[in-house]
Amino acid sequence: MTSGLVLLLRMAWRNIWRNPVRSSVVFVSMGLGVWAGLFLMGWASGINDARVQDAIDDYLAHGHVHVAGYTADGTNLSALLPNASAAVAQLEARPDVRGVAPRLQVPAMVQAALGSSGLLLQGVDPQREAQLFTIPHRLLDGAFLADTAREFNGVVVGQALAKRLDLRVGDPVVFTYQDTAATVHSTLYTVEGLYDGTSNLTEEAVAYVRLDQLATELGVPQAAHDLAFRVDPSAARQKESLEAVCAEIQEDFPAFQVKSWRKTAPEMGYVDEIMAQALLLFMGIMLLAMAFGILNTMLMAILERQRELGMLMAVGLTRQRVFALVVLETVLLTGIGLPFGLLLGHATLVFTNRTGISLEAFADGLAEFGISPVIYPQVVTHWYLPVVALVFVLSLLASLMPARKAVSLNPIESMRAL
Amino acid sequence: MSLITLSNLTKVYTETASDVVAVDSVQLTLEAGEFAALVGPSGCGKTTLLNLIGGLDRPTAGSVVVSGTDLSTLSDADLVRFRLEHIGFVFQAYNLIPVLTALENTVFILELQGVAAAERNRRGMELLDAVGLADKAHHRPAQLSGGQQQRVAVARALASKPAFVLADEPTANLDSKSASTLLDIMLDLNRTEGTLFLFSTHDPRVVDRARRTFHLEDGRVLREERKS
Repeated sequence: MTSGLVLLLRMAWRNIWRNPVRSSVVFVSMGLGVWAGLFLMGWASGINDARVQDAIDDYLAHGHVHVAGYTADGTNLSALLPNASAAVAQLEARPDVRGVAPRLQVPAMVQAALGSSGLLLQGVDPQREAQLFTIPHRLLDGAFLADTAREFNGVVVGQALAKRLDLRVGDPVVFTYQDTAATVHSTLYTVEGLYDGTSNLTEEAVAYVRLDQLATELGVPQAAHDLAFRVDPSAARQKESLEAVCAEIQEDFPAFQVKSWRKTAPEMGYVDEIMAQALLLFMGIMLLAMAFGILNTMLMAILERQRELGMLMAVGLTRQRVFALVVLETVLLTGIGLPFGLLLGHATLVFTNRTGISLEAFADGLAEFGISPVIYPQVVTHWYLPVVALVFVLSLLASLMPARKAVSLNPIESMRAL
Repeated sequence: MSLITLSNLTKVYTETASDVVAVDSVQLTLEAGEFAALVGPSGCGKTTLLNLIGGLDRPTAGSVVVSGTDLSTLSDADLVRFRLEHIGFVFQAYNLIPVLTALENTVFILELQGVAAAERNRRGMELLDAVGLADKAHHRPAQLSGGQQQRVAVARALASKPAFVLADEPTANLDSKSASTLLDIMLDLNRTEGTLFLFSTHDPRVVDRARRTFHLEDGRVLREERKS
């Protein structure tokens, strides 16, 4: 049996080189298909990872502490952490926490000379906010809530909002919002700074004021709605390790809720998971198209070798062995292109992951979706094994029809074939 | 006991217009070590008879009994195994496997039978030596002449020491010198190996050397000649 298999493997291997040009076309197309598929996966992963990382750096952080009933859009004003500074201190004392930023959030209407807009007014501690997030460091003009801003009710707005309302540093704006007792406040602020967010949506939707100032306005001194925190980067990298850290923090804060970014911004996590499935499906469709090409190649090969197959069956090659011969040929034909595709794909991803791919020309469009103009494709090694499995499954499927065709040949009639 | 016994062997092909009787009530027996030929004009049923004896086709009526085994009782899979174990084939168009060398072609059947590499290579080289192609053992069919390819086919047919060899017009594609050399080799192997050779042919050189000749016409054996 073993010698029979070795014989079939030897024949299959040599058979695929009988028509080197035709076989090479299959190898190259398979290699390029795998390369393109892997690069696409790495590219999409790079975009998504960057989008998530930008959101984490801009406003999301790794996790949040708040009371039950809290909503990130600020609509439940009474969901307050009463003694925020004590909770911040307790959180900061943990060795796995790298920074904490308390926030008060209230839906507000901003009115300027040229119009008005709804947004989320976010009261923050400027120093802590700057430790956790990048927005305080990405100012296009002005300052980020300096101490002196208390005197003129400084507010920092995004450049997209500033553009829409034609705001510049020093311009007055009026914010109207309700406090926890449903009393409406209209307060005059002065634009102190313009920030450049990764996403235009964020730039239009969030404005920053000092936490203590907003707390006083709302009549909730010492309180905060949300404590955003960052953990050790190694723990934040994996979904499981971040959830484990959040679960540990939760034990320290039994009266509050501790949630990772995946739970406070589930749409971000969904995109991550849906994209994984969509990419595998896309790869499957692409390889399926190639499988039809391989099927056609093998059918042609069977047609050309009818006489030989008839002779093999006449002298004693069983139909099972003829079937195995065609399957082996197909798998080998497919398999040769696979390692080249994987190597080329891996090399491309490693290289572009280091250098990045600049899409500065499309920066404005990408910003609408919160995507940085420089994409760093990810080296998606975890996809290699599923891709290999997919290629082999599809090549096996592609071999079935030619193999059935081969075993259905009649030895006598086949040997008469020209 | 005869090696091959054909009893009332008949093969009818059903065509749309009418039935074609390719082999008609053939009765004959062949003993081990014979060198026999089926002769007759094209379409007389030589190849069909050879296919029936080789288990490549099934008779409409009658039976083929080889070494006591009635081939009509065997399943398709058993027939393949029977051919592998008991019958050697030589075809008109050589039909070597183009991707294998002369030696690999020669030992192909032995490899399918699971014979150890050393033993099958020894046997393969012995046969290639017998057909005068030991120095071409590692050549592929495309690198051999037609006569040389047919000699490899003969070596392949004999490699597993089959009970008999069926040769369908083995000299039809060969020039006269190659045909003569091939027949001498087959006669020599017939004597040394004691293997029954049965040819279908209309080549007079084959008929001259055959010790038994069956003359066929319209699927029937008209007469039989024996040489001492």
